[in-house]
Amino acid sequence: MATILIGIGGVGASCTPGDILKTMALGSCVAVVLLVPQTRCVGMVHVALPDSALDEKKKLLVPGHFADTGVPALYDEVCRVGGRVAMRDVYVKIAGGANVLGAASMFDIGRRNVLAVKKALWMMGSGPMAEHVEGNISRTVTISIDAGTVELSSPSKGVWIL
Amino acid sequence: MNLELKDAVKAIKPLSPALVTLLGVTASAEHSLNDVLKVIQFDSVLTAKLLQAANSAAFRRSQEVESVSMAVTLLGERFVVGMAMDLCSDGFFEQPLAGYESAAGDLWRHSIKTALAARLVCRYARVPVDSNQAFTGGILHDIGKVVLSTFLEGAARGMALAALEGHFSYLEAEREKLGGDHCEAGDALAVQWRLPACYRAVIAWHHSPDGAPEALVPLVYAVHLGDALAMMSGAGTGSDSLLYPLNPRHQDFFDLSSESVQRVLLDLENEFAMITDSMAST
Repeated sequence: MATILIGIGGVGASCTPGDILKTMALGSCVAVVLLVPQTRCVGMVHVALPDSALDEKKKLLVPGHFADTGVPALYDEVCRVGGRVAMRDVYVKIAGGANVLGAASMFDIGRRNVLAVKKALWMMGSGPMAEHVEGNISRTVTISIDAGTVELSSPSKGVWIL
Repeated sequence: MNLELKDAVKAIKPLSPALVTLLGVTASAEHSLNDVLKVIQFDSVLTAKLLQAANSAAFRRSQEVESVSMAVTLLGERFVVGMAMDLCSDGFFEQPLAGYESAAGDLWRHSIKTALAARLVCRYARVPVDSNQAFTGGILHDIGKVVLSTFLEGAARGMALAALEGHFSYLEAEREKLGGDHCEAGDALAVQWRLPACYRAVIAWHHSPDGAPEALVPLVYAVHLGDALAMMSGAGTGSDSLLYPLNPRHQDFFDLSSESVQRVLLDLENEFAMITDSMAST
């Protein structure tokens, strides 16, 4: 039983009863969560930027940093930990992609991250079944392997289940 | 600012004389690394920590760094100032801010990320901005939150919700609650700490840069942008994270595109990892 902290660009998955997956204080970053009912395996990636073309070296070293490489990397990790599963049998939830108040378009990285994540999922024949994205709030994501629940928390909104 | 806040400012301990001198040196646009060296070589603890950091795995040197001058040259001013602030501020930046629902270490992480991002945006400046001043100003910009925190305990969630739903700055929520905000309190503390004028301007005006003395407006905008980028990267100080408007006039001073903002965020993570890894090894 462990709490697995997923930092920026991190990818993690677990099927171990009692484990918790957590990522803290998402700003413009997006957390993508894959839940596999068949294997009770759960995975999460903490995506920071939309497109890996920005840095080829970082793309190879930390694929989870970018939406286009992070989402496939998460799927691979979930399959490695819990066994092969078809993407159509995986539930997807996403959270994050916030922005500062009144920011000009060049700062709208949160929205770009959300769109890039959805595009990457679409390329794999999938899409989010639930999302809590954009706006001006910081979000922490906590997933219980036992319950399969994705819990969000934010200083202004308290705690809720996605 | 009301009397209670003024008294709270007075109750905060002074900075160490070495740190005050170092901040004075770095505030001068003409200073050299040698001037920095002259200050820190008389502080044995700081010297030892800098040598440890320079020889840490984060810098991967084949040759051992044996002198403080080599260490300062290798680490650069931003690292030296960052470490001096951490070591000589007697835990000031490490304390939890209960009034902002912020854990121990959050203020330090936010301050360092703001500092790094403020320095990085200077690459895109349309007018000359001293990137070392932007870095140090970034570390200092939120010192007023330490003053306000005690008075805001239990109020954070309501203030955040009011700012979010009313689409107004968290600064206004602070003023409504206390009759003063963290910029005013920070400015009062900066006077008490005898900080140089450029850092006072950053502390007092980082949420409304156009109010700063004209010559310092670009510097204050650098920290204004650094603050927003730090919050976007997930390093806020709790309940107020993302709840300060970004002034669009930053475009007069910085030539930023979506791609350059992404580049800054990428480099910010790389530099933050390097600075925290090397500090952790000391």
